[in-house]
Amino acid sequence: MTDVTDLPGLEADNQQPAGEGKTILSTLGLVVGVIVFTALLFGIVLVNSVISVRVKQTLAAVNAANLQSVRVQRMSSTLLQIQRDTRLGRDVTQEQADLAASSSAFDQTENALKHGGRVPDAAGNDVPIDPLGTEASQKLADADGYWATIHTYITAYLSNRNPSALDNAVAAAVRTGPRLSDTMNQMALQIADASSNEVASLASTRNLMTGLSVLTFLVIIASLLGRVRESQRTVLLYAESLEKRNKDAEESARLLAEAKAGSDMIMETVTQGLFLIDPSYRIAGEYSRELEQIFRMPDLTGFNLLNILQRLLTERMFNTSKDYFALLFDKTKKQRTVLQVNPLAQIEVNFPNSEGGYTSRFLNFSFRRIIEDGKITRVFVAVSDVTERVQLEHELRAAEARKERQFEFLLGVLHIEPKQLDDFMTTAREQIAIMNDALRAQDFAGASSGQMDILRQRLDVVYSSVHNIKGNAMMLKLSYFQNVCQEFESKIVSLRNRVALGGDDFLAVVISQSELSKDLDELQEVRQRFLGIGRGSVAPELAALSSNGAPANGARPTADPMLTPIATLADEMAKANGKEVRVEAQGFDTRLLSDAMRRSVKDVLIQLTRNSVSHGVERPDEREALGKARGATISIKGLSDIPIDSFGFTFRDDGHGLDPDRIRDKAMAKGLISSASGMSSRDIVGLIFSAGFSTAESASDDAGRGIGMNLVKNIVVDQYGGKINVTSEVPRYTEFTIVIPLGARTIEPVDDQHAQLVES
Amino acid sequence: MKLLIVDDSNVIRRAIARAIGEPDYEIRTAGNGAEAIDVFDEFRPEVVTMDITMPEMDGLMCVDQILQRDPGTRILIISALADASTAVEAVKRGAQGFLLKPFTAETLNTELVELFRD
Repeated sequence: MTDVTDLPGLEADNQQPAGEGKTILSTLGLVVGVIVFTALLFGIVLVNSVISVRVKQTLAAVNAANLQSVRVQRMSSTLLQIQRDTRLGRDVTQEQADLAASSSAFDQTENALKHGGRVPDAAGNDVPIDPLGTEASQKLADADGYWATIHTYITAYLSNRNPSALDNAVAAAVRTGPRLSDTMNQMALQIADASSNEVASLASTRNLMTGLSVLTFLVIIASLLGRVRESQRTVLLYAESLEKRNKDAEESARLLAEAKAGSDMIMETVTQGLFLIDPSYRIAGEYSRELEQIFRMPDLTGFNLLNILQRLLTERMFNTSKDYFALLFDKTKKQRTVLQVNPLAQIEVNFPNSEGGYTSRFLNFSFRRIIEDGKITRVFVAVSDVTERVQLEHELRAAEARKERQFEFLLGVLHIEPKQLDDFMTTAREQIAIMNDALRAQDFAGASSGQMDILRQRLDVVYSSVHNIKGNAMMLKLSYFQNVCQEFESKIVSLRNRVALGGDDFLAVVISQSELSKDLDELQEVRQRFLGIGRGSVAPELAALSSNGAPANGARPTADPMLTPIATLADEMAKANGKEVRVEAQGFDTRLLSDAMRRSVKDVLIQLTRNSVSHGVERPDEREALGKARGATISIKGLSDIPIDSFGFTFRDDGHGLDPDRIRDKAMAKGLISSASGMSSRDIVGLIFSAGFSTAESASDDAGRGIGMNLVKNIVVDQYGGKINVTSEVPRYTEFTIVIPLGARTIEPVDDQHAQLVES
Repeated sequence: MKLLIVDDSNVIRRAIARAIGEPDYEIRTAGNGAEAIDVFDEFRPEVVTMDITMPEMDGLMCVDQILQRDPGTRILIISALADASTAVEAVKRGAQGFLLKPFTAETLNTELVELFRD
């Protein structure tokens, strides 16, 4: 984006200094102009005053010259008066005094005119005058010459007062007086002329100055006007540049608007939520429209992303997100590492829906830091709804699992004798029914802490059923069911170990149970598709695939077909445990029993086999050390010397036998008993039938969950009211004798305390 | 460079050691958190690869203990845990890298290099 301050058209700023210089220059000119103008005005005033002084002096000088002329005439007339009065004999003293005064005054004035001095003007005031100019001085010199003659005679008369001197004086005055007077008049004229010239020259100077001053004034005015015009021009320039600037700004605003329109279009149409959050996790104003769809909220600007997530996430995920956001803005944590542990890469969120429930969606968040000036100022967030993808993945995985399962079922169906498969399914369904019974919802709804024991007992029932199904699955090598049951068992074990149990805890159990049921349906479906529907319609050729399976033609085989899978189970388990076991049978035939009874007998055999291989039989090297054959033998023999309405058999292994000390220690360690005092070894051996007892060190598929022998007791004693007899000799053998009455199935469960256990 | 591998699985410990290549690193291992701290105190490694779920002392606590002893230690969490909260928690406590099991020799070595890149 273009920064507005970088826009073109702002050169006006750069013109400023040049314009300023010009203005300074013009201002300087103006100041000089005003100074010149003022000086001229002063000059004019000065010249005027000089003219005025000059005129005054000239007038005084002219007046003085005229006076001299008058004085000459007066002295001439006084001399004539004295001559006449002397002739008449009159007193001439007064006239002589006048004459002396006039002569003296003439001298004085003459002196003043010659050297400068003070003379009275027309008004009688003393005025200082300068010495006369050249022409006038010439006249004055002429006049002095005339006066000298007259003055000499007058001075001579006044000193001797004789008539001849008087006559001489009169004669000189009459002869020279008019000339002197005339000269004085001429001098006056000349003074006036000279003065007039001087004044004229001064006046023209003054006029020149006046003209100059007017000119200066005009220049100043013009300059001022110029300045105004310049200012106007500058204002115009500024206005123009401002206009240009505005235009440029408009242009860049338009470009910005275009760019914004582009980004808006992207933000409007992109199918991802794109936005920025600041360090307080607030959503910036520019976010993509899709974000509102994704968050199902309008107007997200300013909203705290964490607060939005709080409503959508579980508390745990919210807390993790909170921690994660802090990491995103933590400069000390590397972005790479932080991005690697993004907890919101595929997160399930729950939106409340209109039905008052929740709609679950999967969102994918990705983050990138935005670093400005070395600081993480914002974080760019992209979020998209990946629900469909996640669902597809789930479906794909489910479909793959289903395909795998069905393939395995198919293999099972093809390799297992149909009757055994049907038995497995019937057993499994029976066990699922038992689980259903134990997991009745109403019993858990109000389960309080006081009922914890009841809940635990229910769990034990479920566990026992799952274990039964697992045993049957193992026998038929239905590994899928085996694994499902194994996981199911683990779930129950973890629940059982919990201090507090609530109704909700059983939800997982119920779900596992229903999944198991569904798997069974699927197996049923596969079985029907490939082997025909129901029992008895088994395709002969397929049935014949089973090695020791009963031929469909009805011919009675030599041994009970149940024994083959038992032998297989023993062999497989033995191999898995590094042991060697062989199963041999004699007079054992369950084919005349009811299906239900036959399945129960098979369940018992499975558990006894598991128990023997896991706990009874030693490893080949151990056996050799005891002087036994490397391979162990399990013998199953039908009993004939028992009541006619019962079915019985012995199950014997040549393992190390039941060691009461070991059983006691284990039972104490397991908390089954607190003390063995007062217990007979028979009582102690009976403990192996307790729920939760196992002598193996670790839980495994084969044994060790402490349930197998308990299951045997449940079936034989509790379910059918039969008897179990255990005989054993360390380290030679263990033998279980099982007798089950063939009468009505016992429904009432028999209390543990009443289990009829016999030890030889 | 000295490297300590902490994992409760012997197989994983060997796999990590093999993938790293002995010539570049002097390698010691520990099978649980408590042992890891003992070895750390004696061995003083620059790099630690750390499993999260272990007996005795879990990986997160182990991270705390190690960084308390030497805050400069580079810790790479190598865990099978897909649990996002644990991963975030590990980084929050100061682990500088995170690698999900199963891993390849290449990704492991990349992460080890990244540990020292700032």
